[in-house]
Amino acid sequence: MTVSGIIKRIGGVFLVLLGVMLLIFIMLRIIPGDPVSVMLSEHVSQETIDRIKISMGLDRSLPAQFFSYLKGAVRGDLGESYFLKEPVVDLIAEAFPYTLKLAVFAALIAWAFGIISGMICAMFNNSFPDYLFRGLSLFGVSVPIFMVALCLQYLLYFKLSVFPLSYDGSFGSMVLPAIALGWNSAGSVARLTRSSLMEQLGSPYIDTAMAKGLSYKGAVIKHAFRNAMLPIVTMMALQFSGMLSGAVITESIFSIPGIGKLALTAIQTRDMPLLQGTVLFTAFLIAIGNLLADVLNALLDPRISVS
Amino acid sequence: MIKEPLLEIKDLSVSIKKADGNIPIIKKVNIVIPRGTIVGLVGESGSGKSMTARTVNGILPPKAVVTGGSVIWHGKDEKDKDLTSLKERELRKLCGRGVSMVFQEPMTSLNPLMRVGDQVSEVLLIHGLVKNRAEARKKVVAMFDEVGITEPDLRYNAYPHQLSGGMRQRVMIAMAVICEPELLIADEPTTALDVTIEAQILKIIRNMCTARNMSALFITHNMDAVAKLCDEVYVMYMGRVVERAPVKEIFDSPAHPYTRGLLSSIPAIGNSPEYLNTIPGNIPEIKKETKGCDFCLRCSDDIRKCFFESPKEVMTGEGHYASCHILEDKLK
Repeated sequence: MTVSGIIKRIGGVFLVLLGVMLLIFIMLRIIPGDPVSVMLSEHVSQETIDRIKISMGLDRSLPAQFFSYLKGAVRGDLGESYFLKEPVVDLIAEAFPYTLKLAVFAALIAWAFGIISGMICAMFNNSFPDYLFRGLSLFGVSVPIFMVALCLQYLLYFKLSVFPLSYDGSFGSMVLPAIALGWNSAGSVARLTRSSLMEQLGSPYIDTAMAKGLSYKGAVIKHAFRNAMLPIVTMMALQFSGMLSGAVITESIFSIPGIGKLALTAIQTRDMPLLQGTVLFTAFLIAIGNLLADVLNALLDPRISVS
Repeated sequence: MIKEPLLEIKDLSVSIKKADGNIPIIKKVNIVIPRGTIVGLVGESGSGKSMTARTVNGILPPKAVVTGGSVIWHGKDEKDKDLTSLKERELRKLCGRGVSMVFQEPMTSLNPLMRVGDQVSEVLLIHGLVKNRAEARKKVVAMFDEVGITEPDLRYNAYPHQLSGGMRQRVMIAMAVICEPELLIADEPTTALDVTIEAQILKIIRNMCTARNMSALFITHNMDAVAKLCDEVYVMYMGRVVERAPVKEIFDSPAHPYTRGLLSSIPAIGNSPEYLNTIPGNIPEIKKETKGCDFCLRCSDDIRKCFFESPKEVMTGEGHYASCHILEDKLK
């Protein structure tokens, strides 16, 4: 892994962001519906509408609008929300800590469960624990988030009242959303860990390790596990950036004021600057997640180099 | 002069567990490895050579079980113990220290994520033969030099994918001999290599054995390598030893029809390319129970008895034994 390789990749991230900006800008202008008419009541004169349009800069040509947006973005200014009347950057900065907290919590639960159950499956292949955790992980990847979330609320709030129904700032109220958000990830990590570790357990270098004098367990921990982790690390980095950006459903169900909720509000109110801002931020997180996955892989695997 | 035995495999039987009963893959095999001797184990793929060797250090595949016999070890540690009934922990202690192994595939037998030097150091550290990593490194570099790895200090930090097949196999040999084991098991160590590299590797193994008075069990299907390296030869067919003899005897007067078939399959210079000798047929599917001689279906001169009775081992020369009805009848 070289420094120039990483710099090149970071340059790539900026190119991706530029593309995303252009795309979202065009898409938002193509879709029918006028933000000004959504903002105002029906009985407003055309004059007023035009005046507001001019004040928002919507009267200018599309390229001119885009370049002024780009200029602002470079300086860290993503415009002002039409609906909430606050700078988009401030709104995102306010919402992000909630999403981050949720994602970290969800990832920790999901990965701990996924990796451990995947390891159990691989080491006790084709016996009862393998069947049990394989069944659970299939359940994990196939049940959608909203279903999990509603079942959790029903069982652990209405029936057993262990956790609160929605987010109220306490630690306990984060548990259900974290499980719901991590549910699918736990399933796919478990399945990947199982197959990846089983592949490594059949490798001749495990025999070599045992012929050296390591026990089977020692060979698995010292040799197989690190090799098996390579694809899992990639998956985890992508999952984490996905959790940071794609928690729309979870955040809505548990009313967490995070990025997902913000994006949803923006869509519902035709709030173009806010929507542009959240999409751009999300794209940034995903691009960083990808970069991180590649860098981690290069750090773990000497056969791979970044570039 | 009879040499003191280091390892005695007695009546060893190994089966593969299947849902509908066990399938025997090694049937009452007897092998004696004397001290300071290189014993060759030859036979076609699937004859049970590797399985026999893997029984010694207990790295059989999960479904294989020892169903009978014993592997008696006469080395320094765990002296006169049966390795098949040794506790896993004691057996692992012996592995790498008393018995070590070189595998067929140098490409996949090394951990791709670890520096090759560290992988060799690991053996020393596992068995507590060095105080720290620095001391291990010093020993490993010296050993790399001994097995013919150029720039050993630099190569210590290389990853397996940065080395050629021959270099990787040298690393494997360094790994196997660094603890000065009494027995080296080499499971087709040259099969995956070029002919020129093969000769070098064979020479290294030979030199290592002579210099350290180390015994070796050399598994191969290459009769040429046997001639170059081994002192004694065991020929296996379908999980049985069908012939055993000193190396010169095997080549001068092969007794068992299978051994004769193996030797005549070596192409000679001068023969026309269309005229390649082979043993007709394939190794038959291994079934639960077999009657008669295992080789009878492929044998060129079978007699009626071969189909019903298992042959007994008969002596055909000094230290030369073979299991064949035809020889039995001849010697009567």
